[in-house]
Amino acid sequence: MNTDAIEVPLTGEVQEFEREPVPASHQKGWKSFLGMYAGEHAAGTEFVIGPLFLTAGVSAFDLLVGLFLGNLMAVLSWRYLTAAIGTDVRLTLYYQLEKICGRNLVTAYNLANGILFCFLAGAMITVSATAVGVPFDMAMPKLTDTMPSGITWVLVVVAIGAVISIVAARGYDTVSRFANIASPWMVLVFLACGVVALKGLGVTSFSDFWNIFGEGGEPFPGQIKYTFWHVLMWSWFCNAAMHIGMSDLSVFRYARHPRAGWTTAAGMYVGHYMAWICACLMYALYIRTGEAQALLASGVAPTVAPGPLAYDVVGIAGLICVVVAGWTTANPTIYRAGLAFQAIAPKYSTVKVTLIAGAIATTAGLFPAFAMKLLDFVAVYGFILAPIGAIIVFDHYLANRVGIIQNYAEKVHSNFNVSVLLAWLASMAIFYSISIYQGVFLSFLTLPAWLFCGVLYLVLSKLLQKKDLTQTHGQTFLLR
Amino acid sequence: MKLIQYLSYACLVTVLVAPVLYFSDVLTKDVMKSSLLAGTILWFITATLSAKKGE
Repeated sequence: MNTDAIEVPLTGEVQEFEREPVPASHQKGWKSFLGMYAGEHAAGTEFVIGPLFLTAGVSAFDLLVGLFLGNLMAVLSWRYLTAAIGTDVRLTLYYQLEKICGRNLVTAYNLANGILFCFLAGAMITVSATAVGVPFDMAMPKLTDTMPSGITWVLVVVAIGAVISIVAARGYDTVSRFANIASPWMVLVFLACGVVALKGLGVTSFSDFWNIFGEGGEPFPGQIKYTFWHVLMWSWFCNAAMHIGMSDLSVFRYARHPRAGWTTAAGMYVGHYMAWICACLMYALYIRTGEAQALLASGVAPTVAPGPLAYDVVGIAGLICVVVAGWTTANPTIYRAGLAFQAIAPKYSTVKVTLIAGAIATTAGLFPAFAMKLLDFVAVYGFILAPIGAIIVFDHYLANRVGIIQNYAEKVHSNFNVSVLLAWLASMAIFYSISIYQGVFLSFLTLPAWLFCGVLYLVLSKLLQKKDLTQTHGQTFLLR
Repeated sequence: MKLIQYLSYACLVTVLVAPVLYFSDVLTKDVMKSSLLAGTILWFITATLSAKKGE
């Protein structure tokens, strides 16, 4: 799960051009994006996502082919939507959005973004806690747990959350540099976990490997069954906020050519394919143990605790990897959440808003539900933020064709484009209701909600823009 | 400087190769785990030094 590519300064250079197009002199070749994407998608949450697929009873074909195609769709979305628009407008998501919907609505987006970041960082703190708790013989949260599992859990989570928050507030750059150093090592430790797990599973051929998952099985207690389509759609849209949601406009505005969008494949196939499958193999090894079988026999889902899983397979290096992976990804996530909040309350210092975001994330981390239900949470995360990207895509490609004013808020000096708000809220309300009341898997509805939001935005703009102009501005805007 | 860089690459190679050797029954599990830990610690030391020199 990537959070790094979002909208906020990773380096001093990214802080520039926040309200102007990136000039040609500062554009970068595809190699600059390759390492970034490869590293950023091997995060702490990968340790949880892989095993969770197994708890959903996936078959070998569903997992291997579904993930391959889902990741391919994500790469294509980045290449042909995000990178294409990013290299065209060369603006940050926030500034592009402000041009279309006005400053006040960007604030609402910031709020949603900030809160979701906090919960995501909370899940990463939970992941790290499962590793830090190993030496203390801490009771690990069960798959169905929602509440803290004991006082040791609370103390460990609070300690990790406090350290991460303070470091995010005070030493963001140091951790960012540390994350860059850790990144290639982390990818190799993920691979090591997979190789060692294969040995433990007695795999000597591809057919042995295939048979680990075989035809799939019943989902574990409290989980739903994932088919090929669940895996494909989920893996496509787990980063929906970044590709079809357009968050990575801020990244690709620096690309010389939209072809740089292909570099996201490094992130997808290293982090969201290799790392997930390796984590899945670790869990497959664990559920063959007597302890896990006893739990399953009694109708309880075996624990998904990345710390003990990695420790059993590769020892202390695995524990370090879980802590580092959780820490290095929670750190920028909390920092970014802080910046999102700061945009709403600019009078607060960066340190203060980052600490507030850290406190919210730590509180969320106390409740294992965010990590144990990560597949559901990530689906919700993408579902909420993706439709905003539809507004940008439809405005960029179709505004002139349907005869509405592109970048409307900027042109009429509006702080609030009601068409955007209505389209966003209606798409979320309608499709989320369908998911809840009809029991439809949420990732199946991300694309329909995205398309609906874009179309509704065009329709509402067609109706409301004219009224606005004649009533309030009396100006004529030439449509290109 | 070059030596530290080569050493850091060697650490990454250790992290990559140790599990493969364990898979091929060349290393025991304990040796593999120790190799991974040694490679990890040395990687962080050498890569940090290398990065600092680079700055």
